[in-house]
Amino acid sequence: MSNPFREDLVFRSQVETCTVVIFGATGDLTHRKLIPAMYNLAIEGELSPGVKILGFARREKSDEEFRAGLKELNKEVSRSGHDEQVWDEFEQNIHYHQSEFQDEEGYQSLSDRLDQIDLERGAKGNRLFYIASAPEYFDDILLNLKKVNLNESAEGCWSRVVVEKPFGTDLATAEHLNTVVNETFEEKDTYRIDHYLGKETAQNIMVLRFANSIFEPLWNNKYIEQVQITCSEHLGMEGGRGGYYDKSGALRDMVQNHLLQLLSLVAMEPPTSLSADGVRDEKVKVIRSLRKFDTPEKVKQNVVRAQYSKGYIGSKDVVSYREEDRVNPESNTESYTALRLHVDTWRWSGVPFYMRVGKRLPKKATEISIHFKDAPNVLFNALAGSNPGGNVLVIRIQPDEGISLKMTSKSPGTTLRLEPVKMNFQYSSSFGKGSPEAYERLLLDSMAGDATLFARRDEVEEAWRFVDHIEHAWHGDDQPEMAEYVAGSWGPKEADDLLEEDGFSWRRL
Amino acid sequence: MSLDYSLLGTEVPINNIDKELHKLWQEDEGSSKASLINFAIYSEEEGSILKNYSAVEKITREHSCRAILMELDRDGNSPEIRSWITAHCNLSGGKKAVCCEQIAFLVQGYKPGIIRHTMFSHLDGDLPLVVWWQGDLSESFRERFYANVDRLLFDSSAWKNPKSEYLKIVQAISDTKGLVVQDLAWTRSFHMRLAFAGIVDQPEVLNRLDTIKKIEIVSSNTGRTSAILLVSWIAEALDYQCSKKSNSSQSDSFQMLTKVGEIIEINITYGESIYAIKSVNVELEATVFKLSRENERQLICQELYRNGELSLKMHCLADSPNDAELVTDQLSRGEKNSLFRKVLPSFLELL
Repeated sequence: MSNPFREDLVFRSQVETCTVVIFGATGDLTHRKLIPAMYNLAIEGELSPGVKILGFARREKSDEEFRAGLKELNKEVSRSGHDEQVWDEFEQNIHYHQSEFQDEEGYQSLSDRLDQIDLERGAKGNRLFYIASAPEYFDDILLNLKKVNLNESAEGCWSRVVVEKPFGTDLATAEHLNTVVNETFEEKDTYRIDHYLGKETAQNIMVLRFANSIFEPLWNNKYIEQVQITCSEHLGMEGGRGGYYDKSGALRDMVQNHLLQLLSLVAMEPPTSLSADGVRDEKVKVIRSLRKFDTPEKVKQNVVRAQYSKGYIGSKDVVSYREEDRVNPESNTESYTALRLHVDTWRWSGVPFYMRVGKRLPKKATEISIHFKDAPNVLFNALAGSNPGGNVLVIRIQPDEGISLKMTSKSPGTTLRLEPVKMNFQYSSSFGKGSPEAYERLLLDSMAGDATLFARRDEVEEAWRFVDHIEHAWHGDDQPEMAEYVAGSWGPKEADDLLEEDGFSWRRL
Repeated sequence: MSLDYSLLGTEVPINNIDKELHKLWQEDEGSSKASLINFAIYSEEEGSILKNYSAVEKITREHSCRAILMELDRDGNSPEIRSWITAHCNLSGGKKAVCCEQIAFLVQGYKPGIIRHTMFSHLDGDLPLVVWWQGDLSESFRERFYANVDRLLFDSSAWKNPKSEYLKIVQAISDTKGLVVQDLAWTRSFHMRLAFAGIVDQPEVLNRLDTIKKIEIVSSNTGRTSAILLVSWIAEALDYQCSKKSNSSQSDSFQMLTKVGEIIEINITYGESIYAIKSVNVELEATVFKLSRENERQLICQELYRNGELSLKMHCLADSPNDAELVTDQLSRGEKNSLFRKVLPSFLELL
């Protein structure tokens, strides 16, 4: 029976009462993102008061100890602040379940505990299993859930699983993980989180393209010259992240998931509907249409990898990548990569898509820039030195979320001088109120059964299929050189050369 | 009584407003102007233009707009319009000042069309027009003022005769087809409705919805329309027929007829309170739930009792008792008002 009072209250699928089981509940993600997101949803009345949270982890803890740790972090990071009384009631719905991930008995007792919670709530309940543990435990968790039948739901209820990235480390491991997931949960009940898709500006890409009539007619190879996607990070390997990052690298950590997702939103055809599969059908076609780098030569021609050498960020000296904490001093892992991609479709034929992502770049920024072709070389553009370049539409994903459009204008004066000007839309000044955290939206959607902002199995596997060609070339016999860039610079010269070959340059951020 | 209007900024001749606004921005290099809507506030209450200045100051913190304040003094001798310009600036991300311009008009003396003409000739082109109409819908409203408005905010709790005023709203909706109307009395129940829906999510409530026996609502003396709108919403959601039983200045009683012919008693009691809806108490078979406004905190307490024992207690956000904050929230929720339109016919019957 659905709640008739939820109808029309908000323009979103209905969130249902459920128990959220978080595996890896003592980790940073749970403390910094998941619980603060749930708290904010609760205080805003978006969460049903009956939603229970059950943390599952290996360490010995009582409910009280678990709650105390969560409370400390919530005070620090909660978007809407922290109210003691509200927290005191909210935490009554948080419990802790200690077990090894491999211990079947722990899952049996989990099952009993969930039944008990459902009984106390007065009905058979819905369950959302959120796997936020280290990836090596994914298999154990899924297989044990299946062994104790927690993957099955009672009549009229649901059991869903949310899987955090990384979804594998290559195509083979991703296929294996997906097989295990799909042997446990149906694909429709599987939610693979890519938190970039929960960001306001990422969601706005489709709105910009398909709710405005002026962009779509220009959104093709006739008018667009090139597209650039940049994700720069000024941080290096602080806080022990070198251990994970050195095994992954920029390509697997960022390109395979976040950046290819952004690319597919920019390049996709209009979906036939806004249903989860309607949107994801079109996104996966983009990934499938990427020209494959199936020989080491093609990888060399189109992909640059690099590591940072020592330099400085702001006024602070920083060490080189290989000198970072928990990084192998002889590491062959890239802290930067730049790619030239082609989407082989009618719409995008001949339009290069450039991507760059790296650590220890001058600032933190993620943006997509659409570079339109110059106006014909007659009239104003024919005048010597007067062409200030084509129009550029920039979608800023973070920080300073917004959209800007660069245009050409006559500079005031008696002479005819053309100058670039920028129209700028900023979320912060236009809408005033802050955007919800990506995890708030994604948690709500998973509880409401809306998978639009989650990656589907075929999307993940197609992305790995594409990325694997590059990884194989990088680790094969004829490896390309690892380029170098000074920490605090915008990347290696080789990345600049990649665009220069085509007569372009990276957009200055 | 003479009022000090210097708060409203620089007084400028009405014909020079555009020029003076342009100058205002030219002189300021450290700020950026932002505007997503034309936001006008109209009132016929003396001194309202000063009160509304403070409201706009709050609203522009979250909504970039061109603000237009209008006050009509019907008793003025001959139509004369005084106008002022200023800007409301707020820091964005602690760095840059984002400013919204404001034009204020004091119209002294009435003549047909003067409000419509003055407001519509000072809009920021292409941007939608949202009007917050304060007080009764006077003849200025009936001069097809609403034909050029995209979204109309009003407050039925301030009306002397809500039923007759609401009929003008219904007429405006029917005349324009596209006019979005939003009653602040309805907005005041938004979080109470969310809290209500939230507690109904509980299986022991959801599975017993057909056993509701009684609903008690405590409302403020000025919150009558909010409370009746809430009753209409409950009846609409349950798809039950609702009818008026009795009413007095202290209370209203209604009866809801279930699908199987059972009667649910609904009582609204009015009293002193700053909150339009102070509490809602719903009795079901073996279960009672209670939603109540916390004093001095912007929170609603949700309590669920099973066989007389408290089984759940939670807090969630409540609507602000401050009108400017309420309008700010309403503007954030966009233009969707399909639910309000759905509830409107039964509300009019119960009013």
